[in-house]
Amino acid sequence: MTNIKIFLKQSSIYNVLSTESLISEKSRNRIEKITSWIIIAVLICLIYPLFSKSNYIIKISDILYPRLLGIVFINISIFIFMRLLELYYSTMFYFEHIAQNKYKKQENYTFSAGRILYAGRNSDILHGFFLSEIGQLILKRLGIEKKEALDFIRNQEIIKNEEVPIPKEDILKVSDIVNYLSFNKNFANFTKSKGISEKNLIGASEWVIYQIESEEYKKQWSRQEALKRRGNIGKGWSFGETYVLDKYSRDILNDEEVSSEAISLSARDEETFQLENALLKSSSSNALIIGEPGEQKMHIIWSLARNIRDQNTSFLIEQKRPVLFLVSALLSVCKDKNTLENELIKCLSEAHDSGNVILVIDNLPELISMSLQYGVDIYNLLDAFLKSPEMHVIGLSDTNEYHEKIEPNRSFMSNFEIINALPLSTEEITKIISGACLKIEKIFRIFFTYQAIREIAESAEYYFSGGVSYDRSINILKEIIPWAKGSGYKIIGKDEVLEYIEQKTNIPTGGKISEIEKEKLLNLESLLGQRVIGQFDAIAGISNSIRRARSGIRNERKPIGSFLFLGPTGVGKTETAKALAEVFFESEKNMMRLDMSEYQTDDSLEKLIGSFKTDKPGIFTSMLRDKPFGVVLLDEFEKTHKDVLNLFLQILDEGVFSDSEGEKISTRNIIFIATSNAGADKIYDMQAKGKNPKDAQEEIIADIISRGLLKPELINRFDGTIIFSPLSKEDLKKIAEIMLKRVNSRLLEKGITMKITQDVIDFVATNGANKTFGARPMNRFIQDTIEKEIAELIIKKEISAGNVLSFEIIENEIKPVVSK
Amino acid sequence: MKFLRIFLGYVKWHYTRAVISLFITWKNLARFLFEYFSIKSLLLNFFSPWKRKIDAYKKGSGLDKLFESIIINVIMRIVGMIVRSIVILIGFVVWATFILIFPIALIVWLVIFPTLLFIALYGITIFFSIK
Repeated sequence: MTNIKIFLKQSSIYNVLSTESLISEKSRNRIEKITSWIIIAVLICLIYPLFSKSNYIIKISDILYPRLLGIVFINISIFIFMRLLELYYSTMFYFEHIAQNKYKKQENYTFSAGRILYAGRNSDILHGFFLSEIGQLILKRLGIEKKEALDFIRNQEIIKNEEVPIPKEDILKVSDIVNYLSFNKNFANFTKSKGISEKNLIGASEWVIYQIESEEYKKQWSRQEALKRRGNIGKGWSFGETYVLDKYSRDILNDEEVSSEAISLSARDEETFQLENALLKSSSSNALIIGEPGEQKMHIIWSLARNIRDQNTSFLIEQKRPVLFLVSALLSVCKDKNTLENELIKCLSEAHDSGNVILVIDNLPELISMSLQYGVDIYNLLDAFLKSPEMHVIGLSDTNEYHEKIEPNRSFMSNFEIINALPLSTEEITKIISGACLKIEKIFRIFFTYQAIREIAESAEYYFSGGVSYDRSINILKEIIPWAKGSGYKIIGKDEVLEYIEQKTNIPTGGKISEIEKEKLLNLESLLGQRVIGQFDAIAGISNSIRRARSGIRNERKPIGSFLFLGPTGVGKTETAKALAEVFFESEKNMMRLDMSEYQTDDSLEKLIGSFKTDKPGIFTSMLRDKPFGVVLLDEFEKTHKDVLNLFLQILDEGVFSDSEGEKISTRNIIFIATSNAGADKIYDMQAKGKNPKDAQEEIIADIISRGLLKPELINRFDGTIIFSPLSKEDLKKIAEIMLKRVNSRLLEKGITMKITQDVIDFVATNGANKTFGARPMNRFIQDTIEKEIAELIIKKEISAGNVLSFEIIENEIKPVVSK
Repeated sequence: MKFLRIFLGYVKWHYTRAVISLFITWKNLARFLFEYFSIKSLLLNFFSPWKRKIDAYKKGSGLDKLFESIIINVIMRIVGMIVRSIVILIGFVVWATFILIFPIALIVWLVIFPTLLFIALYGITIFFSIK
């Protein structure tokens, strides 16, 4: 541990930092511009009189000549001096990312870390962070306004003689400073109050450093690495031309991901290393990259291409030219066997004979299957080329297609080294899209906070299904710009990302809760209670899970909620699901219903998730793709096939499953309600014995398990198992009243009012319900009695708009009475 | 004191590290030019046919075909040699010029700082000089 000033002085960067404090980079650039304009303007003034015939101008120029010349000399010296300072600054710049400067000499702190320490040399590191330009940039990326930051730091006491936390590697980086500051109580409270986690803090600082260093790196054109990228004349002359191949391909070295001069953010170093090794084999030096559909596989190819561009690979492949062979381009031109065969042979021969082509086939399974369809003996055709030591082929394939179309052919497969492109993690995706974001910000003059970028990466996985998270993240990034511009946002933070996703998907994202929604959330029990009678436990369980989901504290790797409703028929299990869909998800239509008793056969799983053989989509998967947000009612859950039950083990646990094509389907925005009559007899028994079935939940569940209806591990995966007791007489009366009110509301549309008396309610409750089916027959009973009478009255024209209808109960018979 | 330290710090850099940096840049650029004109690669492949264009002779195609192939292949090699010679020559001239420029650049670098001070002083003097 050393005092800040002493620590700073230990490095030769200190002098540059001092110089910068006197004259910053911005000021230098401004001075350069001003002086250059002055030089041009004065030179014009000096030259003009030479061509002028006006005596007046000549006279003035004679007087001003020495002064103007003096101005030119002064400005030239200032201009050149600014350039020298720029060189001074640039050559001493110690990069955090590569931990070196132009001299490749070890330092004890990086340039950016030095800037923070220098700003705090007379106070402490915290003040240095808040007052330095880098610290302010980091805070801005975290969505903290300058004023807020300054208000905070003004009230902070200076720590006298604070010692610098020297890290183990001996080079102090900005990340070390940020890490150190996170232990400062006041700073931690400040960031916490702004909802900033330590992860965000470190991520934002890395992003800012990346931005600063990328720009600096581009300026250093004379670096060996930068010069290597400038290409060459003549190296290609020793290699063959590829006229036909060029029609169906593009040079990957020209892709922006490769030609860009920014510091690479590749997260594919290991796979690239494997790929290079595969290409260095003496024979069959080919590779097959398999992974999820999307661009992720290309990242490995771009990484290889960057290594070739930088000549940062084995000399055996550093002269190679990776070429992306676009299978769809070939297939769009070749419509018969002969053309396809000829063109393919020409392309492969050119790639082989050229001697420097690495042929990247963008969709190998498609090439194989289409060629086979046309009758081309593709395996033998490719085999001959693949075995040649002069040929390097990299095939790209989606995992499923690989298993289906390539893997079964063992001898063909032996030509390839398999490389798995595993999905990128959220951290890796955040890093890559933060790089892409910098370009977008410049073009569209919009600002992203770090939390927004992170939210994009997280939301891509969480709120969308289908495709790869990376591709989805990039798409969100591209789509959010016009939306933000249209909505008048100049700064995109986490809330704006969530708002955009909510608009796009109709899934409440927890971003901003409106007043109406707030009311709904707080009164969910009473809203549901208006429709569901007597099932307080079920309503409370569901309401809590919805509130957890909406406040953003739930486990986001699981469905919003999952409940197993146990109880006899007609006690409100299905009604609860419907009520939830109507109250919270706007409409009953947002309830998706699966009658699980229909999925008892061996092919049930295929019916639900789709069939690989028949290529038929699954009922369940299609349902979820159409409505990724809502309630899924699984009626008579216990009756389904055991394979389906096993699928739900995974769904309830992880909130995601794979369809027949291997594509991940998310159920993380779904509430699952599984209903079952299992244990109904036990519930009746208990009630008959005078026990409350809800008090004997464990006994009922044990009974279900012992009878082998549901496995204990499946029951445990539900957020809650709720016992629905048979309805009491009072409950039935309430249900009857609700149903009668529904009839009345339909009649009111015709101008007829129906009086709902207690007699009618009692009549419906007593006669419409029974022990076996609970309240379920009640609706039918109303149809057969009350609605029947009303229909007859309307047809006979004995009732019309403006009339009041009431019912009399005489000897358990219902009779309508019409009054005006 | 601070100004003096900064000034001395700069001067120290200008005549030590910056000179090293100049050498590094010179080395990098010399290497780059050598690579850019592919001098080594062109010399190694000096006699190779132009863009690998060769006429493959198949056995039993007759003497005419054999002579035709020989002539085409010889021509392609000669074309390759000519183009390569031109590029090697141009590349070598550019490279050698650059190598020779270095001492001049070094001298310019060494004198630029005092010269700047001189130009600035001279400019100030004539600006304030009254005719």
